[in-house]
Amino acid sequence: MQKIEIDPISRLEGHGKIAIFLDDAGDVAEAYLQIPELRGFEQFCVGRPVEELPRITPRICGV
Amino acid sequence: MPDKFKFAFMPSASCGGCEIAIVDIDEVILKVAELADIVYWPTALDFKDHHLEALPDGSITVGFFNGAVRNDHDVHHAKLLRQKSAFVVAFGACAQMGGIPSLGNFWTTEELAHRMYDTVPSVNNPEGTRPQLKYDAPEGELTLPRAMDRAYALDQVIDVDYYLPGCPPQVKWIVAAVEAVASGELPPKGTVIAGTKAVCDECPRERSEEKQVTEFKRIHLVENDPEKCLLEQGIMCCGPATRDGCEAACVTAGQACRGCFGPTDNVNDMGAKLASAIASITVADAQEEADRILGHLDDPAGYFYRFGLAKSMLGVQRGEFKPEAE
Amino acid sequence: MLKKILGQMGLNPGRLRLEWLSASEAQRYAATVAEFTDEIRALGPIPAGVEDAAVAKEEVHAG
Repeated sequence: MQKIEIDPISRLEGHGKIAIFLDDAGDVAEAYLQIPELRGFEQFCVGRPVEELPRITPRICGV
Repeated sequence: MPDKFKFAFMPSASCGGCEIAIVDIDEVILKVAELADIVYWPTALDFKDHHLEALPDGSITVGFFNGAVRNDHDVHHAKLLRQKSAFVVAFGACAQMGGIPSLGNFWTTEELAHRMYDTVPSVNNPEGTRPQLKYDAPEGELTLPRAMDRAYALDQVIDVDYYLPGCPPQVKWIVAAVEAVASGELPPKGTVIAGTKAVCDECPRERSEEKQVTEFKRIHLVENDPEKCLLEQGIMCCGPATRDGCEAACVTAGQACRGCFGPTDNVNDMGAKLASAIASITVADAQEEADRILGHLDDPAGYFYRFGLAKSMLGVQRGEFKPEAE
Repeated sequence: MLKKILGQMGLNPGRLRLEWLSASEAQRYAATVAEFTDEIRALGPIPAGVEDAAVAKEEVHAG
């Protein structure tokens, strides 16, 4: 089985990786999209003053 | 100029705002295109890792790295960019000093993951499924990078030549950096390409000789006087320790500085400098009074190291003590 | 405020102590220093840095 790996997915912000598996006939058998990034906004916003969040959460995605 | 220069732009644990800042230089981008070939910029053009790997070592004139170093894939990218580039520029606050992603250093990676995959209200994951570094799919093996124990600044991982600070870096300093490359007049290694003084020196707000604060207040609870120093009005502002060059953008817009340009040349630790600045303007006769006034700063470490926790000298120690707030 | 920062940084705030003593209070000075030294001894070395150092050595500074 042939594997095509697209890493990184380009022309977008953020990180993504696609793995495509081809069967013997060359058709797509299965494709996987992976997001390989962990930053932890869900946790590190906890405990910050609420009026500060408009200056933290924009850094989730700045595009 | 015999050949065209070669530029590469590498993203890591970042938000993409730095890449937008590059595009924000408007028509100067044409000058950049005239001056240099872009040999790697996956956010904007169709480049893959193998394109970068195929380049001869040291062949990139300037490699711009944005984002913190969060996982082993970022480490690989950082080292690869170093190997291929004559100069490496830490582009933006994350690469310079950890940035917003390094706020996660207050917790362990396991705690961050637990929140993200188990307890966030929008997640329904009764089986506790977590991303695996390796997964044997029926069709073949899939792999993911391993998140390290914390977010690192770029210079904690590789040798860095210059720093372009800011969240995001300001257009005029990006242009200044490009012009320096074009003219061949490079500053000494380690230079932070921005101002050399503090934000207060650029700030248009009026300061009195003797700052005296008897109460710290949260910014939304006061109607702040746009002519007067925010700190003097009891609003926490990181201006005294922060490098200038942003033309006091936040303060001019009515918001306090949060230090995205990082410390000035003569400040080693941003938090220590800010703690001393805050202490010196607080007016109290007794310890209890000082405790009461400073008690209103709910999240001092979060204010003082908002963009630079990875570079804090104290570092976050884990295992000894957990504040109740966590 | 410094104690709060120490707490946020994961350090025991008991590692910091501020006392106002006059030069004429020699005995109190000695007693305070001795007492604080005992407190710090009891707390022992800061336990963290272990996990961090391993990662930094192995992965971060390896190349």
